[in-house]
Amino acid sequence: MTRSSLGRRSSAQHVGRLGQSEIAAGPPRPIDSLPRPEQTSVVDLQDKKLGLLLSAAPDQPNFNHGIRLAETALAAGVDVYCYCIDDGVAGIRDQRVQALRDRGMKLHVCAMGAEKRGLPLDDSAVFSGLTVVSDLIANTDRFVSFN
Amino acid sequence: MDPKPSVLVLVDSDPKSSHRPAEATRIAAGIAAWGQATVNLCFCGPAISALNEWPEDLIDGDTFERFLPPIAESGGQVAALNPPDATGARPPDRVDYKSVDAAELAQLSARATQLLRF
Repeated sequence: MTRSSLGRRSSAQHVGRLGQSEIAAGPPRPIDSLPRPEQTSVVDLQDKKLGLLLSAAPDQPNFNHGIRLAETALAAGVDVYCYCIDDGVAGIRDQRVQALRDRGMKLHVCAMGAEKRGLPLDDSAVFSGLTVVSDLIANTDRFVSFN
Repeated sequence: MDPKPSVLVLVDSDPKSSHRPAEATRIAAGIAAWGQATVNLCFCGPAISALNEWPEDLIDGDTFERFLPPIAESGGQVAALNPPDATGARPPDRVDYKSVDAAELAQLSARATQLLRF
């Protein structure tokens, strides 16, 4: 697997976005001269892998940001792997998280963090150790942390 | 370019009032242990007390003694951003760490492929 530039490519080739050279090119151009969406390529995200680390508590904004990113990535055909740790372990039973799991998101949770917080080990997620985080960092195309 | 991912764990929460610095240290050591990524850990601001205060004064203070050494042993770096000079009232440093300034922290950040902030 290549640790490709999922994010970099997506920002550089984002539909309708201007590149750096265009930004630095000088005075603003008429709106008609800007590239139209059909003139730019759309990055194919199928089969790309996104790793998410959620350590924020479910009532924190960053947890929601992570959920929204997972939703968007799944909709684009990305394989999403989510690992909940620290205060984020309380979010594994969140309806939105379970809905994402139903849509194909792989959901892991820190077994030690769950035990520390008295969460029962059930089938709401895969209870695992930090080796999974290490694997996600090494083997996903993009790994993003919401703390 | 190093094919190994490089993870920078940046800790700026206060270990006297939050469990997160200890948890960040455990996570950093847990990732480093598997050898798939180089893990650097940098303490900033109030988090620096994790390196130079008595464990019993910190939340989950034993975690630092237990998990900081393996990070360095795995090839990573434990650093502190502009730590204060040690005084006689403080215990001896429990782990070796490198004092870095803002420019050096910027270099660590630039080399990192992933940033985890606690």
